[in-house]
Amino acid sequence: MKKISPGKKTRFWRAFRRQWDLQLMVLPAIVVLILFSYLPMSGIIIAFKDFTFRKGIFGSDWVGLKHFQSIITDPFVHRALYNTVMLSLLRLAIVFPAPLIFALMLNEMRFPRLKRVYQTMSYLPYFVSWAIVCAMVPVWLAPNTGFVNSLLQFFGIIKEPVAFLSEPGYFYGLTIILELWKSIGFSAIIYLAAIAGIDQEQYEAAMIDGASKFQKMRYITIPSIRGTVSLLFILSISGILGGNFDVSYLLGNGGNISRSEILQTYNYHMGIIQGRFSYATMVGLMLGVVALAFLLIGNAVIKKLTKTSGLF
Amino acid sequence: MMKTSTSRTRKIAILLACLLLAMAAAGCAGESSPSADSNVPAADPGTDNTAGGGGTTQDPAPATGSTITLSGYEFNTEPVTLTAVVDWPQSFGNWGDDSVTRWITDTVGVTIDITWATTTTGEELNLLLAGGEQLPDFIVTGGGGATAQTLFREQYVAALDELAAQYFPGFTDLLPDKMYEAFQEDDGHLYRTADWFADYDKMMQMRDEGFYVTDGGNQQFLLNRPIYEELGSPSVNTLDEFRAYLNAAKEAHPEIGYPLMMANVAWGDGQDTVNFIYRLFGGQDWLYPNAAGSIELCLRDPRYKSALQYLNGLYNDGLIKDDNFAMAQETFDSTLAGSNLIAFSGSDFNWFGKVPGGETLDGPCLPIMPPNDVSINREDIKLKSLLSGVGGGTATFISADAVNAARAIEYIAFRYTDEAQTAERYGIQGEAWEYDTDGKQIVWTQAYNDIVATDGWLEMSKLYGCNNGTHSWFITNAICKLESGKADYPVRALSQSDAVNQTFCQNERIFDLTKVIKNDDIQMKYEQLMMLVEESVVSCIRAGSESDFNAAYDSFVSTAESLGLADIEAYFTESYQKWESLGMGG
Repeated sequence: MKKISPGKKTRFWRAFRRQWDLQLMVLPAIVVLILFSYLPMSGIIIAFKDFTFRKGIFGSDWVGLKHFQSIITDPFVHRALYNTVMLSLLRLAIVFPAPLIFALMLNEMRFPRLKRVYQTMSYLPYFVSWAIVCAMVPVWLAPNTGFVNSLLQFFGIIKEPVAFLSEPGYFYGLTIILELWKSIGFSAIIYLAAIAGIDQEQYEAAMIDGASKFQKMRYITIPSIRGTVSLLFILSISGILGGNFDVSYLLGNGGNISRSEILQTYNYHMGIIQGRFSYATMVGLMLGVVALAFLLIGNAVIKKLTKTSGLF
Repeated sequence: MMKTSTSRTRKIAILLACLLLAMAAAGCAGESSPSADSNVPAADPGTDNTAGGGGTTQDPAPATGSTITLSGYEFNTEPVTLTAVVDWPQSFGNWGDDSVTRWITDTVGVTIDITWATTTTGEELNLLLAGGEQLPDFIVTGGGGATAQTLFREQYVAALDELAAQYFPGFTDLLPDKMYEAFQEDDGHLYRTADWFADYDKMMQMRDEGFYVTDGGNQQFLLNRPIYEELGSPSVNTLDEFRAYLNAAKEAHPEIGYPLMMANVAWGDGQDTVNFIYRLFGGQDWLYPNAAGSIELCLRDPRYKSALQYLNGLYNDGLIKDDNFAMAQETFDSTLAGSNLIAFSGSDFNWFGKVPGGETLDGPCLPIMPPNDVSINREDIKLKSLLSGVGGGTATFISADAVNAARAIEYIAFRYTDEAQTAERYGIQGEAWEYDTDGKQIVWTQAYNDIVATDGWLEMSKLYGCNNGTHSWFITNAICKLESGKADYPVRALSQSDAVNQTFCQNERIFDLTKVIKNDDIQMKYEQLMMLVEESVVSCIRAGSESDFNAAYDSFVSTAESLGLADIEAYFTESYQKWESLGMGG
C-alpha cells in the first residue's frame, strides 16, 4: 500500500502549529515592519505624480516621468551626484580600511593596559554627535581665532590663516578626516572582536615555525577575519550613494557648496524646504535603485573573490 | 515537567506579543480632539462659510462686550486668544512681555498665541501643511516663494475680502493705497496683507510736515568710528577712496579681524553688497527693464560685472576675509557687537542694534555717504516708487481653518489704524515718546534714550515694543520709517543715510511685484538660478587673478543661461508689463 505523503501546504501548517508560540512572538515585529517600512513605501508613487498637500499621495495627478526628465537635465543633481560618489569612494578607500589597520596594530601591541587606553581614546569621539562636532569644527578652524590655524602658523606650515570651511578644495579632506576621527575606534572594535575569535593555536604553531609578526598577520589574522571584512565591505558599497548628510548640511555654506552639496542635502533642500516632494522622491528613488545595483554587484564580486556566500 | 515549562513559555509568549502589539497600536493612535480654549468661542458645526476659494471658516460667537472706536472704526474688545504660526525664529520675547502687546490686549482684547519656527528656511511650515494638522488663525510667512503660492492655491487660507465683507466691511478702506490691487490673485481675491507696504499719500503728507520719508533696509557702508576718527576722518566719497581708506585702516590696525564685513551677497537680499555697489556704478536693481521695456537680470550687465570686479579687488587686497562667506550667525553677531571690523556693508541696524548706545550720535558706527562714482541726484529719485517689499516681504494670511476668523480679520484691520501703527513704530506715548511742543512731531523720552544708551536698541524694543517682532509681522512699518531730520527726534545717528537708502528705493514696488512667480516650472528654474548666484558671486569675488575672475564670471553667465535665464526673463517681462499697466510703477 502506497503511503500518501502530506502536501506542502499541510506540512507548512503542521510546522506552524508546532511552533505557534514562536510565530506569535515574531508577529509584532512583522506588524511593525509592515506598518512602518512597507506601507509607507507606497508613497514612492508620488515620484510619478505632481504631489499637492490637499490632494494627497493617491489623489494627486499622474505626470509619468516628468520629474525624471527634470532630474536628468538638472545640473545641480549632476554636481550633487558627483560629490556624493567622490566622497563615498574616498570613504571606501580611506575610512573603510583604516579601522582594520588600526585593529591589526592594536592587536600587535604588547602592553594590554596601553592598548586599552588607545582603544578607549579612539572610540570616545564616536559618542559625540555630528551636530556637536560640526558646531565645534568652525571654532577650531576659524581663520583668526581657531587653534588649527594658530598651530599651522606656529610651525610655519602656513603663512596666512586658511579659511578651511569656505574654500571648496578642503571640503572632501575635511569630511574624511572628521569621519576617520569619529569612527576609527568604534569600527575597530568589530575587527578586534573577530580577531579575538581566532584560534590561538594557529599563532603558537606559526611561532614554532619561526613566523614573524607580519607573517602571522598576513597568513593568519587577515585570512581569519576575511568573512567580517567582506561583510562590512559589501555594506559599505551599498552605502556608496549614502553621503554624510550631517557634515554636508552643517558645514556646507555659500563658499564650499560646489563640493559640499550631496544628493541628500539637495533632496532635503528640494523636498522639505521648497516643498517639491515629488521631485525629491524621484531623486531618492533613483538613489535607491543605483544603491541596490551597487549592493548586488558588490555582493557578486565578493562571492567570486573570496569564495564565500557573500551577504546573500 | 516538560509540559509545564512549555505551557509557561507559551503564556509568556502570548503576554509579550500582546504587549508589543499594544505598544505599536498606541504609537499609531490618533490624537483626541483638542479642547477648546476658554477664550475662543466654540465653533458652530452648522455654520460652514465658504471663503478663500472653497476653504472654510467658522463663525465666532457674537461679541457681547463693549467696543472701542479707533480711526473712525468700531472694534470689539471682548477678550480672545488668536493663534498664529510665524515662519521664523522667535527673538523678541512672548506676547505680553512688551508694552505694545500689552496695549493691544488692553485695547482690543486680543492675545496672540504664537508658534515660532526654529529656522528661516520654511521647512516647518511645509511639514505642518503636509501633516494635515489643523492650522492656526494666522499664518505668517515670506510673501514670495513657493509656500505662499501653495497656501492660497491649495486653499489653506481664506480670502480676506470675503471675510471682510462678512465681518468688517471697512477693512479695505484701512489698507494702504493699492495694496488690494497689488495682491489680488488671479481669482480676484485678496489672500494676504504684507509688511513694508506704505500709503503714498500718507507718506507725502508726513513728508510735508517735516519728516524725512525713507524706506527700510538702510543698506550702506558703515565705518568703525574710533578708527575713522583716529585716521583723521579722511574723505570717503568715491569707491577708490573707500578702498584706499580700508587699506590704510588695515595697516594701522592689523589686529582687527575683518577689514570689510559684508552682510550678504545674494540677489534680492536687502543687504546685498554687490547690488549696493552695482547701483553705485549706475545699475538699478538685480532685475530691471531695458530700453525696450523687457526685464533683464543684472548678471550680464557690465556694471554688475564691474561691481564684482571691485569686490574681487578688495578681496585680493586682503580686505574681505574668506570666512565672511561661511560665517555662523553667532560669529557675525559677535564681530559686530565687538566692533572687530573696519567697515560694514549691510543694514545699519545690524551693527548699532547690537551695541548699547549704538544708535546714539557717538555710537560705534558711522554711516558714510555712499562712495559714489556716479553722482546721485536726489531730485531724480522718484518718491512715488518708494513703497517697497510687497513681493518678498512678510505676508500674513488667515487660515481656512481659523477658529475665529471674524476676530482675525478685525485684528488685521485694527493694526492698520493710525493708533496701532503709531504704537507699532514708536511704542506707547508717555513711555517711549511724546509729542514735541508744537504737538506734531514725535520725540523720544529720556527713559527711551537712556535704555538705548545703556542696554541697546534690542533690549529697548523687547521692553517698549517699538518695532518688536512679536507683534509687528502684520504691518511692519506701514508708515515706512517716517523719520525726523532733527537729531533728538526719532532718527538714527546720522540722517545722511537717508540719501543712501533712496538709491535703493527706485521702483522697488514694481520690481517686487514682478518677481512673484506663479508658474511651477519658472519657480524651479528661478530657485536653481538663485542657488547658482549664491555660489557664483562668491567664486567671482574670490578669484585669484583676472583670468580666474573672467573664467568664474563667464561660467556664471553661461550656466545661468543653460538653467533657463531667458525663460525667467520672459516671465518677468510679462509680469512687469502687467503691473505697469495697472499703474504700479513709479
